[in-house]
Amino acid sequence: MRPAAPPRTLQVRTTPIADPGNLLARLPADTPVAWVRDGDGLVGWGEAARIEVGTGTDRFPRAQERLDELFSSATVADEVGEPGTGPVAFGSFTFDAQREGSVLVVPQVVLGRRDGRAWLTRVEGRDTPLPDPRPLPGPGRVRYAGASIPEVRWMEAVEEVAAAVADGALAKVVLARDLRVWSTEAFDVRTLARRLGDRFADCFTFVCDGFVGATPELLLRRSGARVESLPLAGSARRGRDADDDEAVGSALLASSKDRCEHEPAVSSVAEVLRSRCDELTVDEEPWLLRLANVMHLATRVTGTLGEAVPSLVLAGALHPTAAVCGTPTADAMAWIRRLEGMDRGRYSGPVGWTDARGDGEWGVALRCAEVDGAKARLFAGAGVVAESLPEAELEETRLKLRAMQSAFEG
Amino acid sequence: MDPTERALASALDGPLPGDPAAGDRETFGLAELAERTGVSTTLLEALVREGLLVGSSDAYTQADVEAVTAGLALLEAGVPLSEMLALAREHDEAMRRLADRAVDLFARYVRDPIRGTAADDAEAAERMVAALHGMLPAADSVVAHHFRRRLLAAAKDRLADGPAPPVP
Repeated sequence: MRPAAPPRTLQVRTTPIADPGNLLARLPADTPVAWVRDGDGLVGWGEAARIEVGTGTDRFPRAQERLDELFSSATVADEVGEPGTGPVAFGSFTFDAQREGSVLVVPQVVLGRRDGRAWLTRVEGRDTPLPDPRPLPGPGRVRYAGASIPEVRWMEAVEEVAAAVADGALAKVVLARDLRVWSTEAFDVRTLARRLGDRFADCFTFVCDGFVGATPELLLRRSGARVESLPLAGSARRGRDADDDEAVGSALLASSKDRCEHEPAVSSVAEVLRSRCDELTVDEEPWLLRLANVMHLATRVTGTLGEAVPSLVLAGALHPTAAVCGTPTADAMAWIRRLEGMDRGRYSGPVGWTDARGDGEWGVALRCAEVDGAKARLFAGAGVVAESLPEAELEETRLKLRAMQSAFEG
Repeated sequence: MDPTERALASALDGPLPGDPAAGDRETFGLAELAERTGVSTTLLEALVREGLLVGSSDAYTQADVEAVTAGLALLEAGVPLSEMLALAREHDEAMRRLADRAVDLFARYVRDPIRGTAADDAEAAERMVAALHGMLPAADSVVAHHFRRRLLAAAKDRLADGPAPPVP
């Protein structure tokens, strides 16, 4: 764990710029951060400040306090005034509040684009030119080095949970597993991010402190008083052809097992937002979100905040949703800690960014990898309910892992 | 079923050419299979549900022990269980279609002509069972030989092609 950067007064300047092209292609090797979807979003580099968030159930409000201290003492000249301009912190948080590893980083340079407008933010004001986009060398040979627990043990865990749910002990538990990848040379997160951004353009490609991924799941977006969330739960493979895909999609919409997974995910989000919103809209019926290799049941939740709660604090209040933990939350967490046999790290935790106004975008970190030199850990999980079959859940996680695996394999 | 069909049904229950010797025909249930192979019942039950462990649930034999053990050897090389299961599903799907087609061909081109030309039920039954006994090991041999050749050819093609394109 790197030492925290000393507190300093940030000098921040945001100016409009001409379209910089592919944002991810601009990232230099120096501590890159990114949050990009459909080519738009934010990338950054350098570290003007770093906050090691620590552990505990109050870590989100505490982290927000430290950010408030840092940002309130900053000198800011913002010529653009959009969400994501002025000083910005990128963050990635561990799934488990008891685990170390959560961090907020304020980059020295941020490049942003949204709806045709682009901007450049510099902290500490050195006017060095933007790095030219350049192709990156591919990684060395990739070698798979197993999982934290054998796959058959994971299947047995699914069986145990399904039986407990059938007995009425609890309603759902999400069980995750991992896959270790090693190489002959250190992984470059920029290469991985470029590939993810190209292949999964409709997902949020993120990079933060050696943590990289492309997630379809929006935990919380705040823009002024508007908030939005996209809980996902219930999955199926994509079809082999258009007809098969249509059939798989219809089956997923009709599947009561997947509905059982989906409903608690939506209600846990709606409940948290309802108490803070003047008005809240929830899609009446889930719809199909089709991604390159899987499809999910999705329900959009949108609302108008009644009070100015920062996006990071809202994200913290939503986490963990039933889509990544289970129902009831505390019981599911206990089962996860007992049966998963591994540290989830920042997988399934909130990841994203916030600006000094409290606007921000936070996703649930899925389809991701913790990268450390020439080693990486990939993660995937599945929601277990009474009808869950161990081999079907294993297959679901295999499909989800393939998304990240393809980025590592080239 | 008519007498010839009954004779065929009885022949299908064995002993059949290629079956293990009398001593290895002992049958046992899933729990015993788990014992003998060292494989978790969770996994064996999954294999049964997926149709990858074919046969009646209380009549596993030494042949099943050998097949499961062979599967384990594939896993030991490092291929993840999840990938092996996915491959096995694809293999099973193809095999089911082929098996149905093969049975269809037998019915049309072997069974029906025999019935049409046999002097009586006894002759038809005898000729039907003889055909089964001749065709089964032949089918085994052709399929196994072909698969092995296909696998080796695929490996040689891959070496010739160089690095594989990205897998979706």
